[in-house]
Amino acid sequence: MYNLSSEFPDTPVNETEGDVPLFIQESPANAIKSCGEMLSGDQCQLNWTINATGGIDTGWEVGVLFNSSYSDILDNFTDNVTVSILNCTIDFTVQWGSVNFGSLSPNTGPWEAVGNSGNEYNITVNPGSCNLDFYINGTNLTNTTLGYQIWAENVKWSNTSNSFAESYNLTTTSSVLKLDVPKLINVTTWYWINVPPVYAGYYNGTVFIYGVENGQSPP
Amino acid sequence: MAKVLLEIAVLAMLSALLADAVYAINLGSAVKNNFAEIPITESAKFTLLFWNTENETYTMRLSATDYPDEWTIIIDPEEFPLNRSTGEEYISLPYSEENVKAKVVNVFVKPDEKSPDGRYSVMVEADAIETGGTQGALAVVPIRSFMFEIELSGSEVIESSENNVTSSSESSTECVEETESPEPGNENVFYFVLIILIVAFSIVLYKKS
Repeated sequence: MYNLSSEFPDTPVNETEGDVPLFIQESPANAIKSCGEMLSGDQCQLNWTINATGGIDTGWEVGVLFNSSYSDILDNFTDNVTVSILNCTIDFTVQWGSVNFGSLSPNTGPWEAVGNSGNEYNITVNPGSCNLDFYINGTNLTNTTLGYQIWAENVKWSNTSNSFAESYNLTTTSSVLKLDVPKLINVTTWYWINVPPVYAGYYNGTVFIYGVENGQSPP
Repeated sequence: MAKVLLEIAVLAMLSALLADAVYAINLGSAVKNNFAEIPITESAKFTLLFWNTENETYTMRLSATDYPDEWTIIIDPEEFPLNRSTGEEYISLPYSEENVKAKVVNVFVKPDEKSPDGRYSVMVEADAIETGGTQGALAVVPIRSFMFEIELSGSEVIESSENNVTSSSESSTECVEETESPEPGNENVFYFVLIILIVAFSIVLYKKS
């Protein structure tokens, strides 16, 4: 049941395909189902597959009423759940956890990231997601022990090919990575680093990948 | 010799693991509502959902990055681990046969009492932070920004709410004053002790004279 005309579920879910805001997507479609005759200790699980066809940004309270033909068995309502109908989500997957450049000598470069040649640095917009705008920025690479830094601008990135010539500086402020990316589309990125004359040590940094709904304010 | 040693040390210490961490970070999110029209006395509540369909757990950290001065933003929870089994609600995703668990985050926005009518925006940022990153590497952090809009309306309501605020602050001042003044019971004890002292002092004076 769902709340067609009141705050709580009061109306059986529609059995006709395409009905609004919810319909049972089964064949045959039955809003009322039976557990058959049950004895003490028996269990019964009923399932309905429901398709939400209501307006975007609407919400519906859905619950199930169990009753019995035996008058001494009281009606039993399940807890209600709210079905929210959304236009789209923001759902993307960054297909890598970190960018490594291997062992490098100071004052050399540019060096490509380990995953560049395999086109490993992919961002995927998942099905169900709105079209997304992607932005990128980063931090300086820091050695916390020595207190030294490699500026973010020493890291370069590209969204077009594994070609250093087409790369851009990573900056601490956001730059457009790719705009209006539809679902199921991969955005591949590539990275390089120029190692400045710095003291030895592990230098750690962060690349931030922002995903925002197409047309919304950039970060 | 020193130069060679330095070179070796630099090479050794700049080295990083050659293999990239091979895992993916999924940041799924949805906004249940991003607009609220409220009088100034009330708070707006926005609800967000987060999910992670990958196997790795990461830490989701939220913060308000841009909002009007003196407004109060409460994010509940601000930080939590997120994986496939996290969440109180479910979301149906086209690429998943089963419904995916989604974590609910509530954002409460309380306007400043002095804010005039109008439309305001609040920005909240959510960072998916992978724990245990690789040494000597660039960690990757997917981020999602949310913008909420609040329409403050009803100047009459606002005026009355300002009066309410004033009166409530006055009453709270009164409460403080009441708390600072002696309570009736304590007052009686004080006078009783004072009388005893006076009587005792009088007896001492009488005996000495």
